[in-house]
Amino acid sequence: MALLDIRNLSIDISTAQGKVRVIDKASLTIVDGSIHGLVGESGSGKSLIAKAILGLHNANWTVTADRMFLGATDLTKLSANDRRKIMGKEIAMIFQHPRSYLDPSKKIFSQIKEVLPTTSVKKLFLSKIKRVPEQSTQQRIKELLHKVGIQNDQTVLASYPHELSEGICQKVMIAMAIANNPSLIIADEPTTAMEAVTRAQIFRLLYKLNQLHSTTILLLSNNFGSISNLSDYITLIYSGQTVESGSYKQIINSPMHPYTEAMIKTILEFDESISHKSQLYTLPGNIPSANQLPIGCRLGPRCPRAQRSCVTNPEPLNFKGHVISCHFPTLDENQHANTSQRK
Amino acid sequence: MLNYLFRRLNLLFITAFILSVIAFILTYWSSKNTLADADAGYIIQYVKYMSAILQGEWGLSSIDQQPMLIKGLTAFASTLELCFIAFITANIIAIPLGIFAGLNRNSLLDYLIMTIALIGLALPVFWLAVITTMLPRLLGIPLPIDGGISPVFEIPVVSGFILLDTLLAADTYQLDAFFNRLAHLILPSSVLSLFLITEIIRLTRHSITMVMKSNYVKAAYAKGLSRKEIVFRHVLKNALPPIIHQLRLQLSTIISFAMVIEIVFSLQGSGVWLLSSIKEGDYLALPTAILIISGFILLSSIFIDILLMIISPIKRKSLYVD
Amino acid sequence: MRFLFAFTITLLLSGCYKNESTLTDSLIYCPENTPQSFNPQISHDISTLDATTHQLYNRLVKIDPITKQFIPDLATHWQQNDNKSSYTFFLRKDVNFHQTDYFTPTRFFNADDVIFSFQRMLDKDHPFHSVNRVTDSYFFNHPFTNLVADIIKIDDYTVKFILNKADVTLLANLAAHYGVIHSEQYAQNLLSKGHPERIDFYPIGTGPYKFKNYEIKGITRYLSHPQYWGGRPTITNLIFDVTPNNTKRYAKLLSGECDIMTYPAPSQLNTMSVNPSVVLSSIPTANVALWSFNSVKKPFKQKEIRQALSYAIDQKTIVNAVFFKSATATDTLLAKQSWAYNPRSAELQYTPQLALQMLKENGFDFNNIITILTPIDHSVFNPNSHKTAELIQANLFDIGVSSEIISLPHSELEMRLASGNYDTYLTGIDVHIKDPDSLFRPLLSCDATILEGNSSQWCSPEVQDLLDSTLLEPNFIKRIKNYYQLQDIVQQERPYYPIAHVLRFDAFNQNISGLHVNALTGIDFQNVRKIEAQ
Repeated sequence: MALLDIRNLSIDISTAQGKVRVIDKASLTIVDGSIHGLVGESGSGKSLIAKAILGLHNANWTVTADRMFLGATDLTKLSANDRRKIMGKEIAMIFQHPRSYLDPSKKIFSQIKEVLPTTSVKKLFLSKIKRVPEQSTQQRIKELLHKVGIQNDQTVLASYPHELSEGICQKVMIAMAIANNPSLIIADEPTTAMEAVTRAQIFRLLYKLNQLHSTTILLLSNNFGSISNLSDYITLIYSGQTVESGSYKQIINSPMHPYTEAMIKTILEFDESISHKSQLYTLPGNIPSANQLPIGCRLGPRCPRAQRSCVTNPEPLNFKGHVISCHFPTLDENQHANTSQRK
Repeated sequence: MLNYLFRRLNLLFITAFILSVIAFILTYWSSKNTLADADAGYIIQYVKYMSAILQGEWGLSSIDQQPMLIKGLTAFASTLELCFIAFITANIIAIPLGIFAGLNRNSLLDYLIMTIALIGLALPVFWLAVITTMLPRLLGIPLPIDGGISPVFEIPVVSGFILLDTLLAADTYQLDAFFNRLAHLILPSSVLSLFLITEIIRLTRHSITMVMKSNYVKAAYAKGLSRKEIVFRHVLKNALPPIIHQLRLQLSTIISFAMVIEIVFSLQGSGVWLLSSIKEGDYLALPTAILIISGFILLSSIFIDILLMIISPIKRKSLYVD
Repeated sequence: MRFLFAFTITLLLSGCYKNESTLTDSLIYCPENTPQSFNPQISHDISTLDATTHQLYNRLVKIDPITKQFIPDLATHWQQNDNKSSYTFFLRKDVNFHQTDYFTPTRFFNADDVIFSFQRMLDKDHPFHSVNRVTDSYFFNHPFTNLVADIIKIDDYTVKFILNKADVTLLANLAAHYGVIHSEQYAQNLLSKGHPERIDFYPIGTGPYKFKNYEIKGITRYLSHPQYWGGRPTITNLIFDVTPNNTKRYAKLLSGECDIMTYPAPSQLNTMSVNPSVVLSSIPTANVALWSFNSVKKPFKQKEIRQALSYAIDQKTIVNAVFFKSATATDTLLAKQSWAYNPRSAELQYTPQLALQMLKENGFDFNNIITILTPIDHSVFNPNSHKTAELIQANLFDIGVSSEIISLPHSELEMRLASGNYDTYLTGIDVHIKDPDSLFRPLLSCDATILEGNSSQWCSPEVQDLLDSTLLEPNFIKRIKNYYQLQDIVQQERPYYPIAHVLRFDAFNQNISGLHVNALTGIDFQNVRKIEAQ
């Protein structure tokens, strides 16, 4: 069952130069209980999609989509209030540079306390009857911190954000994110600013959460290599367009889009095949800037297979769950184009 | 944190030293014949002067032979009283307005509030003070426009803060003198608070806007908090330190405006005292005023820094003074 | 929210503020200047007179404001001897001096006090003669050195004044502002303590109010004298709150911070007169604003030049523009109320053509720039000297005479006057003695210096002779005739151009009654009563 089903999401931002279509008919389908990686370079629009899901966009954005469903709820039809309720309970988000996303004037204890589900009067009443003691706030917070792997909880709780390292701050953020047992956690480049050891710790934590509590995780990243071990499904996005999407095996073993191939080739494997001071593989050119977006397939100017027909938007092709938007995909022999689209 | 305090104190000592040298030069220039050992070198005279200052002997006024220190402190206390009342009034009005303006940037409310703030910035203080002396007459409001307190009340000077002194003299006059003093302060403090309101609105609006753009507020939105909750729980406390920091820099401007207003309204504070001293030729008032007023500003700077350190955990980490 | 709450609190607090004008036992008077001392014998400015004459002291006789007759004050009755060369005064008994925290009297008022008060002025060897005397002021000496030879104590309550020769003006002199009676006991007290100068700054008298304290910022406080022989005054606390700015004075009157004030700005007289809550009262004074020509400097040595310039001035415009309704245009130096006023004096005319003609006829050098010297501050006889000078300058310009206005602050002005380096000077004279001699002598006498009043540096034997002989002339009719003659000479010679006779205006709240103002001796609060506000 798809937890999050987004079809043809488009975001237009009105700037001084007119309306710019920053996200162009992106589609994303997240399977419940999986870790889904959304990979794209900086500026490709990953955070925008995340914001659109949460409804945190500015007033001058126009968000349109054919479908935007969270489970059975249509996100586009919710009022602001209902949206807010969902955000705390069902979807949680963790960010890059976690220290700056914590309130610098408050101790960690009070910040975590803020997100805990409040004990309603009914529960208190019931607990008195049932003689089962409700856990005190202290207890619950301590448990949360232990869950995310912070051993010295007393020290951490009594500290301010600027006294803690990025790694601990990220764990705290994750703790706050899972406090309400959300069904989806969106992780916006959570480890981009960290060194390798902490990075491994965070990923391990996310993996554990996913395994133990079946929390779906949408992991945004700009580094194909770092998430490739972790994700069950991967979607690649280039300049606001989703180019390829599929399971990990499908993407790694049979990449069809030229961009995906380029990404895979950039994963460095330190074996003897790379000679000293040799040039690393890249696609020629740069990401187009927002006011000079190419028409049609936006990889066009840089794509090695580009031809005239690339000025129109390619239709997404679906090969057993491996979705690709390209006019000239790399096709295996025993794959035939299947243009059926799931409704 | 102690490190920071220590550096701060260091700065204080250096500034205080420079000020004392200036005061010494002024004293020397204004009363050449009252300094002992005029033949001795300047350094020795300076040392003698500093020891006299530290012992509390600041010289006698040439008008009425009262000790200068007492006169200066009494006059300055009255100025401080005015500043204090104006500050409180200004905060009560300006901070809510600034918050509204900051939260609703570029809305009609924002433009309205900023217009008020700009008007306050554009009007010169002395002109406004003079207009305000005529205002009650025009509007028919019976507020006093002259003097610090009605001459009917004879309040012995105990602390220099006339509001306190009127309360101390309550057995003679009950609370009449207190209310009279308050009434005399209403018009001057509203003129001073107009300037303060301008400053505080601008600072608050800027600070709130900056805080609203920050990451933790975005995270708070993502957590599902409502705007009101975010403002009260996260924004206010974080917006305060830059406001206080900027206000500290404005302290000397506030005091000089207060002195101008005092002259217009004939309040017996340091403005009137300095002006009449210079007119009468009592030039010893100049170094006294420099030491008292600058000393006060230095000390309050430090207190504000300490206050900032208490309320804002980020500042506790900073090593350098800005 | 919170703001509204706090604002309401403040409003409520200001409701507790009681306006001073509602306090019935206190009276606040706002004069223009601080008094120079508390003894009208040594200071003659109107501020000192207002502060002291009627408040702190009594005199031997005083003038009834309605009948203008001499009535008893500290002297119950008096008699003259046959050849009018001596007066005997019988003093009032059981009169108490003030008791303050710096002096307690142990006896009633008696003849010793009278003798002390006057001998201080007469006797050059008196221990108090030179105390607090800054200059050898003409007024200090004039009335008595010429008039009184000696004062003799007959007994404790009888005093005899022996005059130099027969003279009728003694009573007028004793009723003047310098006839105040001090306490001899207090003077001895101070002398023994070594502080004789305090007699003029910590005064003791017999008047209805006693001195309480004086603050440097200009506030003088008086307390009512409980044992005043004329009955304790209604007002207990009398406060003088000096406010130099006349607009502010009026504002304070309206806001209730002043009950009574003097010298409103002439430009505001109209608004004040239509304001129903303010009562405006005016009395004519003998103070005159005038423009003096330096008669020892060319070209003003010639009387025709002086006359010519007099024709060139549009007096009415000046009076309207500068004084508004606070002064009356005048053609003579002497006020119309004076008994020596010559009703047949010629009117001043504004005839610029005639002026120009006369100037040309007398060889006036039109390239000459005339200096007009004025003081910077306003004074009791001219609210705006600079504006007056500008108007005069414009009038002169119309007939082709160029002039330069030099306005100086007080100290520099005195230096310039003393040096004689000026052509004309805008000034006035402030008169507190009824006798016409006190107007003419400082203006015209050869003995009077520039700073004493003779800014025209006038000296003519004819005038001097007239002045001196008339002063001592016993025959009243002859005196009048002499003064008429003097005024004729003044008109022809024109050493001074009279601009206006000023009125003294006092304004007070409508709940005040019983206020008396005397042009010569100052304001009198003795009978003031505050009616309860409705």
